[in-house]
Amino acid sequence: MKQGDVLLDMALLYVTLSFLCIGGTIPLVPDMHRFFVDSRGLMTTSEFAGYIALAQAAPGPNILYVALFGYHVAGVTGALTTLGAISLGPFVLIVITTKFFTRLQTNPWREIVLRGLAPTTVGLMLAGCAMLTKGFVDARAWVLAAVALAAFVALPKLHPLWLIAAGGLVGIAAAM
Amino acid sequence: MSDTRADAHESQRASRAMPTLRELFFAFLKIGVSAFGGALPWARRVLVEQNDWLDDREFTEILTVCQAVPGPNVVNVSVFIGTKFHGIRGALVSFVGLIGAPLVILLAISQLYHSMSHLPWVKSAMAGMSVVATAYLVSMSLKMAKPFRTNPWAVLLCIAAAALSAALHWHMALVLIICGTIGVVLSKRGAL
Repeated sequence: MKQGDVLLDMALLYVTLSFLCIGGTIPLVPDMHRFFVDSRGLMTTSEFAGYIALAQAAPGPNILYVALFGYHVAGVTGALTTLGAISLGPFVLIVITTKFFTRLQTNPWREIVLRGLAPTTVGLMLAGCAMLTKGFVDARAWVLAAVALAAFVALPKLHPLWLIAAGGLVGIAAAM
Repeated sequence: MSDTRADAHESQRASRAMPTLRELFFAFLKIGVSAFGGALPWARRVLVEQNDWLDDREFTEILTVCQAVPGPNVVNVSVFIGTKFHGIRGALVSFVGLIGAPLVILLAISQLYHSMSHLPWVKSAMAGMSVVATAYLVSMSLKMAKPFRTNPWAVLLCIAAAALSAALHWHMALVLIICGTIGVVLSKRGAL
């Protein structure tokens, strides 16, 4: 595929996804995985999962992993394409929303819609996690995941960065 | 504005400091680089506690509205607050302030990772980190499920959405339209 085609392809993907992005971008992970790994074959599942982990461990908003996908495919231009594409629509929508803020604040539908969408959002997030487990190397990864999950639930105040870094050390120690 | 509530808000605002474009940029820069694993708590700290540009209630209201509008939440918040103080210019300045520096840092880390990715220990470290990051996402999902986890309809809907997407590979838009509509109808009837 030509460079320009790939960029356009990614831009279209993220423009579409940005309008579906309610309650974070993680529910969109299955669709991104389908695009980058299954249908276009631009990266492997472990690379895909690795980029998400890198973005979680580095400073900044977590959505920056979409820039890493773009960077993998087409360098800095790719990163700016994916990040720009996922931000453009919401940017315009929010600028418009500020004008109707007071009206939206008191609209009873806001609460109803948010409450109604919550279970679907969480379900899609869990589907995204299921996708990421495809990159697990072997049974040891599952054990590590179970221990880490227990730690995250037991220590909600602990900064996730520490546990992610610890995971890196465990990975090295176990030669995963 | 004719709304009395908005008027009250405006007069309250008058006593508060109004950030300049430069101040907005540096505030969001600070939020961006100090935000590890989630930028919203930092946004609150910088905007409400350190600078007093918004009060707690305003921040929560802005956040709820930003969550209801499609888009990455913290990006929405930066654009909203930028627009509130300085229109579209403010929005651009806040947005670039928020993602500019972290983007450069992340691309540098990624480049470093690529130049070392052939080393076995780098591969192992990355594998371990990905596993823990996945567990973190699961724990975040569980936290988000707290408000509805005792409601059988909500749990059923949640499982259905997960299964349709992960096992049957439905497109997310389809899952969102079908399960989302069912959820909104249930919520309207008071069942959620």
